[in-house]
Amino acid sequence: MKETVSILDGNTFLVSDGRGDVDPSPSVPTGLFSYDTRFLSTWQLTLDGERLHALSVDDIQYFETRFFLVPGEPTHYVDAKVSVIRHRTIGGSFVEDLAVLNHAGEEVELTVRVAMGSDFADLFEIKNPQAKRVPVAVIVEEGQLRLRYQRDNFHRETVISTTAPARIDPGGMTFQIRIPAEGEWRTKLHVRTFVLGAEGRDFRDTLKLRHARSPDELRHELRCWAAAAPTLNCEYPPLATAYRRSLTDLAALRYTSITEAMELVAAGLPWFMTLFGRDSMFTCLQAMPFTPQLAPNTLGPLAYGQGNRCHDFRDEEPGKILHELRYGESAGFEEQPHSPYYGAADTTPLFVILLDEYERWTGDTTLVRALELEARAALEWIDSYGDLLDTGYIWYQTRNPVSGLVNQCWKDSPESVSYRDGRLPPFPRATCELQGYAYDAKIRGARLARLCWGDPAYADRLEREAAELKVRFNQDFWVADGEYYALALDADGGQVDALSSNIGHLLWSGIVDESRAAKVAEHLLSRRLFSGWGVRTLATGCARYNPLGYHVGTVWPFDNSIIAWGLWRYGFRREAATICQGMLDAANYFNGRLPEAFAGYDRSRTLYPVEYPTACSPQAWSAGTPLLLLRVMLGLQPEGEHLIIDPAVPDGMGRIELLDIPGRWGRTDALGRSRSD
Amino acid sequence: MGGEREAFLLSLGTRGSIVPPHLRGTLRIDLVTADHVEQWFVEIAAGNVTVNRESRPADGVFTTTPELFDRLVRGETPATAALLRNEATFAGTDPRLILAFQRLFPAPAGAEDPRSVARRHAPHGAAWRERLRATLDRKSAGSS
Repeated sequence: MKETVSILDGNTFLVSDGRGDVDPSPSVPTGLFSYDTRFLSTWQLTLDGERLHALSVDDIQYFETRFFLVPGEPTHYVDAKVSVIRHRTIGGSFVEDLAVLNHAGEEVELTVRVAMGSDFADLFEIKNPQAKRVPVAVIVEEGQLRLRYQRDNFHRETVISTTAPARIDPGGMTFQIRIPAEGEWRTKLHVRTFVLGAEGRDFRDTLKLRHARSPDELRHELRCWAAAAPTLNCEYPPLATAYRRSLTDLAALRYTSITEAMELVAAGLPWFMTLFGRDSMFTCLQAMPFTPQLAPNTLGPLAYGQGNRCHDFRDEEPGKILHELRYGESAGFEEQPHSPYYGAADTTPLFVILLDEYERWTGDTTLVRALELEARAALEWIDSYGDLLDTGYIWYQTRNPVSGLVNQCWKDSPESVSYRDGRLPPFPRATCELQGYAYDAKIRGARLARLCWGDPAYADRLEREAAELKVRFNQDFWVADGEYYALALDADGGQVDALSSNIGHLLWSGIVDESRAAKVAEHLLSRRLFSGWGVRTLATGCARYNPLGYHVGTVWPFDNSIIAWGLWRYGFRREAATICQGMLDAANYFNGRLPEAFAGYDRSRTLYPVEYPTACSPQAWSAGTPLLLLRVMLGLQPEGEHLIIDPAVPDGMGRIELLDIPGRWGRTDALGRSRSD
Repeated sequence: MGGEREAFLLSLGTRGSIVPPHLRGTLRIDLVTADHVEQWFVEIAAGNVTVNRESRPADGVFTTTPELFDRLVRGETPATAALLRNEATFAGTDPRLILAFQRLFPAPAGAEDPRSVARRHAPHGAAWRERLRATLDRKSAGSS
């Protein structure tokens, strides 16, 4: 796979190759994107008609990169007469400072050209390439090139300007330059993106959203963001690196939503730079001990977007929390249902879980009171629309056969849910972790009802229902011959009997009978599920197991962080530490940045974690993983007004010190040390 | 068509709690034709909605054509999608009003309760549910 370099600020990002170029491709997500539209799909630099080659790339910040380039193909030594420095930043708009340096003792004459173009593809069109209905207009103007896409009232523009004089044509800009001996030539290329709305103005102006942050503002914000998070001191460098990387990536993934003038965390580059109910909430849960301020910024928009009617195309129902909100052409013209789309059966209980977890850490009862109506509606959804078959379980089945999701759980690829023998169950389906979340949401909802809503009767009812659910679940989902919980129930109440990582989420939710927890932990750490790096999504020996299968064999860092949390909850501290250790070892191979998923090969077979081919990186809940692992290793748990610290640090990791953990206690420190040290 | 629109808007005030109580704000609807602007003023406060024909400044202005608005009233297209394709526009200080506002419009005609649909898809589910209930009843009888 070609090496790519990305810079981003919220949901505006640029993905290029290692020399800074963007080659046009209908099916690869490279280029400049903002609000789900590609604004640049061609950006190629040549010197005298020749492409350049990178000597080095300096990823200075997430919003800033510098490329050092020379003309021609690399030979065993480079003795270039000229070189090029491309310095680019993203802060609302994209700016490239282009400098050509003459290292010779005499003047040189050169033709510098930047080929430019845009296909204005919607991100969904890149996933499934299709022709545009309307051609892109290219307008050559004084000192700038304007690219325009207009379909009915839908109007996007890219405007590229240069500070140095250029010959501008519809395909780009050409600079005929002379550089004196030992001299330098420069131009600044400024690429502005416009999402035109009311009165032909950019919608971000109309909505008075903060349009752009300059690189200086971004630098300042990143410093403040990092300073507000706890300080980590540790003796295990991969952990320190992963921690720093995670905080930076979460900062980068914050963006300002159209519908909410506050910062949200986008799910991940490049496919998921948007508000995802599930990913955003899991990220908030993972990051709670570090950046609790993310939670209200996520709960708020999700509350505003809560479903309030039955809408088949969007899989919407009253009380349901949204799955995904998109801003592009396909959502606008209703070719895709993401305006927003509600096809997720787990987001609604997760909403209640996150609200409760947030209160436990921060003591912010004001928010819990403000969202009472939405939280009650979410709890109501679990027993009404969520329980499609009236069996006391959450089921899912899309009502949008064309563009809806068939699997509405975190493993949302089409073949993720199967029987041991590989058959796919009919719909509706009830995956096991959904029932765990429902149980947890009821227990936590009861706590909130008692604490903040003044409704002890409702709390009693929720607790009673949770207890009944636990009994029912342990009876219906337990696969007796394998001694684990089934991946799902099919529509006849039969067990979808594959062994999967989902059983780890059940530990996190607390729905597992104490008597069965040890068996579940044993399975999670068994050779069939544990690869040496982490727990596979599906166990070896299942017919659909594939070490490179998206949800049927790969190892997902996010999944593992929740599993480690679950093991911790049931007291399996050593097992949790084993997963923490495996994940952090893997992170070390990715310079601290865990990808969305990596291959499920045995660790002893490959010796390094093989990245899943189209994994998203950075991805919010992968960035959140090292944070949650830290919580698990230090055994952090809020209890009343205090933070319980009960560390179990993996062997050989030495000392871990986390200072200034924010919460209802103000700030506090945690210290852990592995036993063998 | 104007009658249907008017009836819908005036009915908003009598439909009771259709928006969360913490949500408040004012919204002006400007329905623009070549030679005319039809204006409506919507106030959302404490879970209630008040609608009148006053032409006043508001926290947000929702601008579109009468034709598109009629489609919203009939549930034929979601307001958010119309905004994304710029067939309607919103200007104002509180973009959250958009999401509140879209709650006021009905679902598309013919949307069925998803539970009925699912139960049709899973005809064997009924027998299983009976078994399940019987087992649970036995259990609870046994434990009491």
